[in-house]
Amino acid sequence: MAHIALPEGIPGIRGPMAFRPETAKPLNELVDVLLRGPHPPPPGERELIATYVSARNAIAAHHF
Amino acid sequence: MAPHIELPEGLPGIASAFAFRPETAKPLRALAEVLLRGPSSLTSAERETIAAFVSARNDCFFCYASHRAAAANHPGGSYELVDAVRSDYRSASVSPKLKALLTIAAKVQEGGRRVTAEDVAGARAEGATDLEIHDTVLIAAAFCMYNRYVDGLATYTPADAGAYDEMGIRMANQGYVGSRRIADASDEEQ
Repeated sequence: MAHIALPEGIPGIRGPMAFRPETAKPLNELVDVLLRGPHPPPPGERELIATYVSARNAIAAHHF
Repeated sequence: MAPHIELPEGLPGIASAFAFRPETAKPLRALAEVLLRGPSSLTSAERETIAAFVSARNDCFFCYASHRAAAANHPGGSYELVDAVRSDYRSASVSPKLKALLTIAAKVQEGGRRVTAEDVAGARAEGATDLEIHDTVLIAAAFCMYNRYVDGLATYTPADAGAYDEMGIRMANQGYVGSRRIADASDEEQ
């Protein structure tokens, strides 16, 4: 269960984004520029970097 | 040490990275503005103190010194208070609610999954709302990002404490979205 009363049935980061649209807006804009903006490397590679970092953060959590 | 990439000269810390990449600067500035200066039941001094606290724990001197100065320049903030929070927030002269929120911020700095239901219940017991808990988690998470951004590029970190006083006054009074002034001021000096 989430630590605060987030909208139900919305997975992951979309829950807090629906809870707080004011912060969701710049966060979505940032992700859009970083992962989908018109610059190299291709979006697939940028998503791969994001996935790789997320995996490392998940792994680190298990070692705490 | 020179920055890892060719950043505009004469701009300190994150300002140089913002000038290098305006497309990412815009949402990063907007996020800081909402989190630290937007309408909230937490004061800006309290929110800047959380930002400085997390930055200190990440060893990001630039972010710590600048947000410490911003906190000090908001009503209710002071350099002494931020320093006390940094060295031992549990004994600092801040509200029990802010202490409970700092406990959550410290956990987020270590890793999101370290935050426990007890930490959250502790904050609620001191009167923290879900929105305050949400914003505390996001301030802590966002500053882990800003800290790594600033240090991952080895941006210029002024050693002179006076530089941070000026930054703090500007951050507290003018905020984060209109601060092209930083670049303009630097142009005028050249």
